[in-house]
Amino acid sequence: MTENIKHTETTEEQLEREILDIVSKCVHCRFCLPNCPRMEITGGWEGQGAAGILTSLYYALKYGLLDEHWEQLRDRLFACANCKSCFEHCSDESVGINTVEAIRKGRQLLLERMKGPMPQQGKALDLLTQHGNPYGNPPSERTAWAKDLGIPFFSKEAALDVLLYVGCTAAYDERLQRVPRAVVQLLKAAQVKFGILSDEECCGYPADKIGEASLFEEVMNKNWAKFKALNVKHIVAVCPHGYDEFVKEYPPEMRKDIAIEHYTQFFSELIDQGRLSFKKKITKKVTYQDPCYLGRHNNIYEQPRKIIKAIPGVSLVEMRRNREDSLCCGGGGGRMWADFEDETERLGNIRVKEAVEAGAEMIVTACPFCFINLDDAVKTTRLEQTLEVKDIAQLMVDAL
Amino acid sequence: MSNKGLISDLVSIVGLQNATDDIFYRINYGQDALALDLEKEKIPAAVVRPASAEEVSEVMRYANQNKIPVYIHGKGTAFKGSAKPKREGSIILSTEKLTTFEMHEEDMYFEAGAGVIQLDLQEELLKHGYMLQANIGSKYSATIGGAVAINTIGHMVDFCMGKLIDHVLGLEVVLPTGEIIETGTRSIRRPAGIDYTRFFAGCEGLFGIITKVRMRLVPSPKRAYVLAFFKELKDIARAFIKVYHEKLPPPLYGELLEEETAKAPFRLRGLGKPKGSMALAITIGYTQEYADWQAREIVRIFKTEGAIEARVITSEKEHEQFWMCRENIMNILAVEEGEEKLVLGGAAECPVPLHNLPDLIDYYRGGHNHDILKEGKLLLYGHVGTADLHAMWGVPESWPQEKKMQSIREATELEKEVYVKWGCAPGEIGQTASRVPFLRERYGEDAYRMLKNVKRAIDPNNILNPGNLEGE
Repeated sequence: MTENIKHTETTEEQLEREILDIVSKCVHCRFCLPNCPRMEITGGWEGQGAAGILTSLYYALKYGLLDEHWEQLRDRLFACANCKSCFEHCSDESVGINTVEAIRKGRQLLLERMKGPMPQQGKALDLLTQHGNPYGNPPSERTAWAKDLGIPFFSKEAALDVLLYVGCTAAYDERLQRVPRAVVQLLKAAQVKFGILSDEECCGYPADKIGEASLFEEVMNKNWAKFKALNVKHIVAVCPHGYDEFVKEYPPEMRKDIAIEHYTQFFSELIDQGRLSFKKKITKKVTYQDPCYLGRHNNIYEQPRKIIKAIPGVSLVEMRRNREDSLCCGGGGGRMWADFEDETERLGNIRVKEAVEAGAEMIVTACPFCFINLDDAVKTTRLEQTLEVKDIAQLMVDAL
Repeated sequence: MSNKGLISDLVSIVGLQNATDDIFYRINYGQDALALDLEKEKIPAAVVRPASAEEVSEVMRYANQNKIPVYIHGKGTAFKGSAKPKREGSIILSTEKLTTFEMHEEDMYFEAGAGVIQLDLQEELLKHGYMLQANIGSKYSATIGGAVAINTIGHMVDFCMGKLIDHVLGLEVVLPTGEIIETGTRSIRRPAGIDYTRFFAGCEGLFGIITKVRMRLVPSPKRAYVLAFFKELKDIARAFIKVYHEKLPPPLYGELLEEETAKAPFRLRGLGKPKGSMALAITIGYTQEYADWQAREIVRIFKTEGAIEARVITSEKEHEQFWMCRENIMNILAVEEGEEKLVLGGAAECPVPLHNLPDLIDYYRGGHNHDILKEGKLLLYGHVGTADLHAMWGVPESWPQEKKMQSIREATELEKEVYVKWGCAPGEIGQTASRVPFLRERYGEDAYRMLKNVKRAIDPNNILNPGNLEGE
């Protein structure tokens, strides 16, 4: 009698199956390619973009090419900005396969096989493990941005309504610290009872998007336990990437217990309620850079625009590519921690030129990565005198 | 020849940035829209992207000297396998860098590099008040060179627009042996008698590589839109037949989407449940009144032929919603939560004589003997205004791969049966590669031999797209 041995699927096998489940539905129409931002800044070979990456993944698995050719695949897989433009076009014009998920699983598979991520991304993940943030900054300096603002730390006893979750980049990057400070000023102006965490750590975005699933799970569980212990009922996130992790990747029961908003959603509501208003006139033509993790990933297109329009004197001008068609700044998908040799231009540079073409004097955004990339871009392209870069929160504060 | 030697030779022609032996790039350029996988041994040896006809010429001379097969790649969107490499050690020649565009409004033509994307071309022409004389489902990524090589206008009605050949005034072509030739004319008067353009427009890449097209400018006409729903699909076919029999001008588009097929796209676009099978027509005229009059006439005919609803749509936005349900047809494979996901199985494209349109619907619905197709979910749509209906068999994703592939092969066999039975030919996607059995049966071995002899004379080493005419 033969023993009936039940084969347990390994993580690798499971990932391979899940990837093939998604990728085998691709009909190779390549409608995603003209809209992939990577096609604009590389040589434009068809092995790039969702169709290119997914076809490569499919054949790498089918013909066992990973061991010999992992480096080429890695460099394309981890260069994806997760901007979701491919999915928009696939679902509108073609079969609607989950391109972004397949790419994430591809990254997880390469990590399982010790073939990824990009070395600098791996370093960021090590720093995240050691310090609770991907930059390796000391946890003791996490709230330094807020030290003179008199913000209470969130606790069960403090009877606060809102937890302001700042995120690593805005907490540590000197250029960005102005953003949470502006958000705080606005919360105070609207008389919101809010606090911050005394021991805020990374939301887990880099681990999740780079494909380190177990590290993400660890970070997520730690944060979720913290929110529960503090009886948090409402989170307002400064960073769209953190917002997206909370609403998409954290446990569903957390979303049931806690209202989660990006600050543009929250302030848009406060404006509607008459709790936040603007008195100063700012006579400027302003354009808005849709962060991918607000726009395409979460369909938040109108609230930021509503805020901009609520500021007296501001005239909102749209860039040629906006909303669903918006061009990514290049910062998503873990790209903030890696450079890619095949790129001959930066997306931020293209974007600020488009802003100037649209007649804008100021480009505003609502994401720390977009801010950094656009701010760098105006310097590189020598448009500093022509185009100002700000976060929407700063623009609102200017108009208070 | 070693792969290293091949690449260094190609780099010397097109430069480092435009020649590659990267395994994944080679695979991607070798994969086309036919669902069959690229066989491992057929993965091409290199990909080149020449930026001029001169560079294309050099690549072809080199390939001839070394007897290396060359496959032309626009964007690989062809459905019947013509873009897929069929020989080992091949070079893929992509036209994507041939993207020049020149307007010659004074002489009423434009010239575009073969690699210009159709959607970009359409938008550019529209800026100047002209239309592109083709509207192909894959226009988001497909090239104008590919469209001319297949001589297809996609969804448009031939009787209204003509085929692309009717608009191509001339071509720049590189022969398989590397010579660059110019065909046709710069006049709006086309050549009578010998017109070399006709050897290449519609040659499916057998006789030469189109590197540039010269096409007449067609002013963008006024349009009027008709929307109708019918309980019976065959009534739509009968209604369009009547449009022709009443001697009305042919519409630019005449489309149908079966009720069941319409459900997913309607849901996706927030249009609720379709009231029945949908018919769309777009009429054109140099005056709005003329286009409107035709639309009203079509509505009148639709009503007499049993339409549940038939009306002229005056809002372009409303028209667009319904049109996108039909145009972005892959949306039909979208499912509701809980349903099993369907994937693309076999697909067929069959033009028939006008009066056989209702018979074709019966044939698709089960008049054939392909049991494997009957196991799939039949989805019907197509260009009823030009007597060309599509069928797609959605198959459960749980089907084994080989069963899905069998479904694809049997759909091609079914097409052949229809063409032969009613004396017709494919109207949209070409006739070589997997469709060669049709070509041989429909037109006979003498005609096929003639085609092979012409090919041999023009391409003595059979290095340009080999295997396509052989039916591989």
